[in-house]
Amino acid sequence: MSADSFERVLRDRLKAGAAELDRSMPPAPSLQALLVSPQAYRPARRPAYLRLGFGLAVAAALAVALISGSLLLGQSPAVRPLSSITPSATPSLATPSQSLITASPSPSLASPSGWPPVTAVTAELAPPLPTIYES
Amino acid sequence: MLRAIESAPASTLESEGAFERMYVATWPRLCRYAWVLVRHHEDAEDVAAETMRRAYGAWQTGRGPAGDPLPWLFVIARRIVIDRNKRRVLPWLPLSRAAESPAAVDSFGRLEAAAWFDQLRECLSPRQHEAILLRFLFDLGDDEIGRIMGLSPAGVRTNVSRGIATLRRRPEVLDR
Repeated sequence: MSADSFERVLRDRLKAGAAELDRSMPPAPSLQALLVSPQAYRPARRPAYLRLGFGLAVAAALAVALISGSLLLGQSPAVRPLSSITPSATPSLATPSQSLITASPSPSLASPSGWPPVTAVTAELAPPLPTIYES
Repeated sequence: MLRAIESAPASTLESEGAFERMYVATWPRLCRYAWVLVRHHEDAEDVAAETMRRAYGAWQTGRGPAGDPLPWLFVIARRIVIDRNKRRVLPWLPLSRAAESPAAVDSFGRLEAAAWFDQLRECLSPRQHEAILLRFLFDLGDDEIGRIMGLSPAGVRTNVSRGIATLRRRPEVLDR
């Protein structure tokens, strides 16, 4: 293929591809609409009623959040300073048997029979503390 | 129409009517060039619209094109795309477009054409790709392409010839 014919084939191929792409291109919008508003030239793709609906939905959600928030604030107990709170002498209503939390046995340092105490083992493993000499 | 605008006197060129005629005549090619730059249909329309707004502002203040308005518009569009790419951190997706799949809005022929343009771009360096498109798709000369791309006419010729040489080594690209 000669250089000229290759360039001609390339040109034809490019123009055919571009024509295919242009087929779905909308016609030029009116210049006034294009210059007045950045989005006004595409009313079909971004309709105004969608924006209006979205704005209304956001406003309604904000209103509901504000109302529910104010109701919650009205129902909340008054905050008291810590110093005014006295410990209650009344025992808990839950009996120990009803309590869901069972006390676990406290860890013991006692070692199994025949083993040295844990404190003794840790003392053996721990490196000796450096001696500080005062001059 | 474009040739008529070129040959019109400057006073006529500065009028709004002349701008509107220029707008109608250049809009499809401006959209096409913007698509080449951004590879997205609606973004290309946004870039073209922004280009026209800036061009109108310049036109009103007497800073219109000296000759053919198309390269002048292409320069503006190219700067807009470069500015947007510098600013872009995350792609913005409007809600109205979120549920829209490409297959739903694009025809098969258009998708195929877009895929072919993508393959062409993968074969070439960005400069070669742009120079070849400006030369063979938009039929612009070396001077005009150089003004758009910021290259000398010799640099344009180099990029075009190297791009063609690359494509000649891969003829299957044109056969698709």
